Amino acid sequence: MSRHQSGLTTVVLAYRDTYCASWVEAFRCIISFVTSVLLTTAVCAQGVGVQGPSPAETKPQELSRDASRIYAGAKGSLFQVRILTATGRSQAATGSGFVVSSDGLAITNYHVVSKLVVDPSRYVAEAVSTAGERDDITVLKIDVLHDLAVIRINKRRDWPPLRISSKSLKQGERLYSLGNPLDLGFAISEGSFNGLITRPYYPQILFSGAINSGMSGGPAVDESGEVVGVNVSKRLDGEQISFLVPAQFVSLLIDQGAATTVQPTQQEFRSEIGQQLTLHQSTMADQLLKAPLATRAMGPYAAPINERQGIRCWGDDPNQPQLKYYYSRLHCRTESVVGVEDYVRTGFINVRHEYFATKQLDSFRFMQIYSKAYKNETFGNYRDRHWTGPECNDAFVRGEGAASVPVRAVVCVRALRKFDGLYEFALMAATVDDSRSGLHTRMDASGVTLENGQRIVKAFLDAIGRQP
Amino acid sequence: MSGGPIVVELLDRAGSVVARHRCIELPVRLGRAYDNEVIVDDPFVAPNHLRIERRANGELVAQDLGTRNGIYAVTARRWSPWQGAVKRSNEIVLTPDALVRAGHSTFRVRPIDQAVAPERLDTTAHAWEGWRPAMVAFAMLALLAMFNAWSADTTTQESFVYETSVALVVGVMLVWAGAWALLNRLFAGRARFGRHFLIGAVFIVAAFVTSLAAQLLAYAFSLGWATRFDSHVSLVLLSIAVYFHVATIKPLSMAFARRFAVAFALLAMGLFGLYRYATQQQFGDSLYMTSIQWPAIRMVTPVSTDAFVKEIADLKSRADLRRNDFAGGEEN
Repeated sequence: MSRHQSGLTTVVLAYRDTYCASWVEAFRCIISFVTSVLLTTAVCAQGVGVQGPSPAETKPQELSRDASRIYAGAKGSLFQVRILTATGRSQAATGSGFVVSSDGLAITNYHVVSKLVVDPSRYVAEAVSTAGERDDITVLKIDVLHDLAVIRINKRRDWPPLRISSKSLKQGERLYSLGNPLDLGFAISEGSFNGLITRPYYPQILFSGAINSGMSGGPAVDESGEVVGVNVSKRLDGEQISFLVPAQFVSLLIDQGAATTVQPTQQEFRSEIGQQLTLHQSTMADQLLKAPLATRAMGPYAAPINERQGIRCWGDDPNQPQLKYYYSRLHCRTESVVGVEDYVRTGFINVRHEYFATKQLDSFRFMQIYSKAYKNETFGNYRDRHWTGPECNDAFVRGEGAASVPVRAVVCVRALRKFDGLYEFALMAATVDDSRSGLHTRMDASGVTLENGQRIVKAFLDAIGRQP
Repeated sequence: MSGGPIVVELLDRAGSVVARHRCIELPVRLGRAYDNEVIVDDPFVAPNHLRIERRANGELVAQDLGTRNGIYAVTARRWSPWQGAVKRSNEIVLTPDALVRAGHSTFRVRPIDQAVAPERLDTTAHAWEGWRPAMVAFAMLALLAMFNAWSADTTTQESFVYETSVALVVGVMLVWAGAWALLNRLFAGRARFGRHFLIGAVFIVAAFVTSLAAQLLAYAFSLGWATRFDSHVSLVLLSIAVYFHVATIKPLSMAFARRFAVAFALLAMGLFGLYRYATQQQFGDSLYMTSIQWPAIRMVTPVSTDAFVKEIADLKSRADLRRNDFAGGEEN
């Protein structure tokens, strides 16, 4: 089951990273994928039920008088963002947004308008107010990393702005999230502030309240009606675990966007995204490598990983009495990925360690298992629109540490087609110092520069070894 | 060439003799009627179709006896006289290799002193047919299947892998050998199943052994190509097996078997390579050396991480060249 968060409009995408250790497990993965999709559907369906218009179901969660007051105060500033295909003007994505200045500047999520930014010739966008008024919008400034965009309402200047809060919040403080969930109509949901999550690279507010697809980009306001955050995502594996982009990043972006008057060109946006991704990867690499990689014990081996800010690990040590060998794994990934487009997610590091050992099997059969697992790795294909095919090199390598052991390693590089200077580096290494035990390490660093890719690959190769 | 008896040989479409008539005296008549010396059951042949005579100079000739369908001189080709150029004429000179078509029947005429090829040395092992080679093949396949099942037997569950593995391998080879035996029966009149079964078994064992050897070699000396072209090596071995199958069917046409096997190899490897190239932009099986073996057989010293990481720059340059592969499509 996938354990990382996903954008509001891209619920299923979280499952693209479903992890398959080998072909033997691929089948199991397909089963678990299907199960996940079924579960997701169930979760979504449940969400719709809670938010749905059926009076029987809404009664127990009747909104407080405060909520009515808050909604009345904010509804003039609230609107739905509709991304339409240029040919046919049919709806391709929906989100929410809110006005922040009297001259028509407004805020939404980057992921809501990403189609318009990446493919301006194929998509147009419009805003629909709570009163049903429509207006075209242009995108002025984007922040891919915090998932924010400053847009301008082109003609209608009579939509009142919301104020951005600069107060600090206390745990448990009541917050109200507004938006248009699942294109069903405008809605407000109550919840509480539960602190700032600082584990991902970009802090987010943990909001214990319901937000749903389509509410992305909508405001979350406090009791005084001031914006404290922007709805961005929720966890599928939790109940009412939602995330908001803190208001401070909104203020920063408005300051930058206010000077812009016309929508930047596709090329300008592309270079802007490229710069932000480059900034992100240097933060990510620096945090990972600011100290030598720590190691975890897997059998007699030292498996390198830094579970620092942004990277979380999950271990799996299944008791498999039917196997004549021992197998355990450790799986680490950055908690957030950067979504550039619906199908381009980058800016992450994934690490997987697998330990194999046997007491009862002869070395011939152990080597068969160990070799097969090394062989069953994929590195991408040549038909991907967004990434080039993998270019690989392999060798026997030995790290510099005193406890290092020789490994067989293959490294593959793929270039991001649209963004200059950013690559995905995949490393697969197998220790080759013993005929009846070994450690496999697969590391993927996506959306990083050549220099950082080399640093990261080297750091991992140097740290693989025996336990001191 | 002087007088003496002649032999009229009726041929089938493939050029093999189906009937011979020895005639002591000339002229000889050929036709459907019972008063002919050579009787042919062919509705397109006249009751009295042609006459074979010897001229004063000793030449044998065939003369049309005024039929509707006439007689034709066929310029023989190796594979089929029916494909050769034909010419209708009233009188055809019969050299020993001249073919004559009357109606749908083809024949040639040879004097009894026609020279024949010397006897070939029989190298066929006649005892090595039937169940003997079949049992050897079965034993080889069963051993291979058992070994394979053993090397994958890493669980404690009773799963009958040995039995199913043997049944599968032997079953597949029975079908393969059966197809060749059918062709053999068709073209040479007997099946020779045991031989075909043995050829198939030897191929499977050879493919397994070379693959295993390639894996050991690739690991020992860090040779990527040794495992990368595993499938191509198997196809070469398969072509060799095809050569022996064809040679078993037509033991006297080694040259044909050779041509057939080479054509098979080029076609199979070409198509397979193209498929690989279309999906992976390379002709081999994998992007990297995929074999991990015993530490003791590694013969090369590991490189330093610095040296390994330095080469990533080349990979990056290669990837950069591919960035605009899709440019020119209807996008952007």
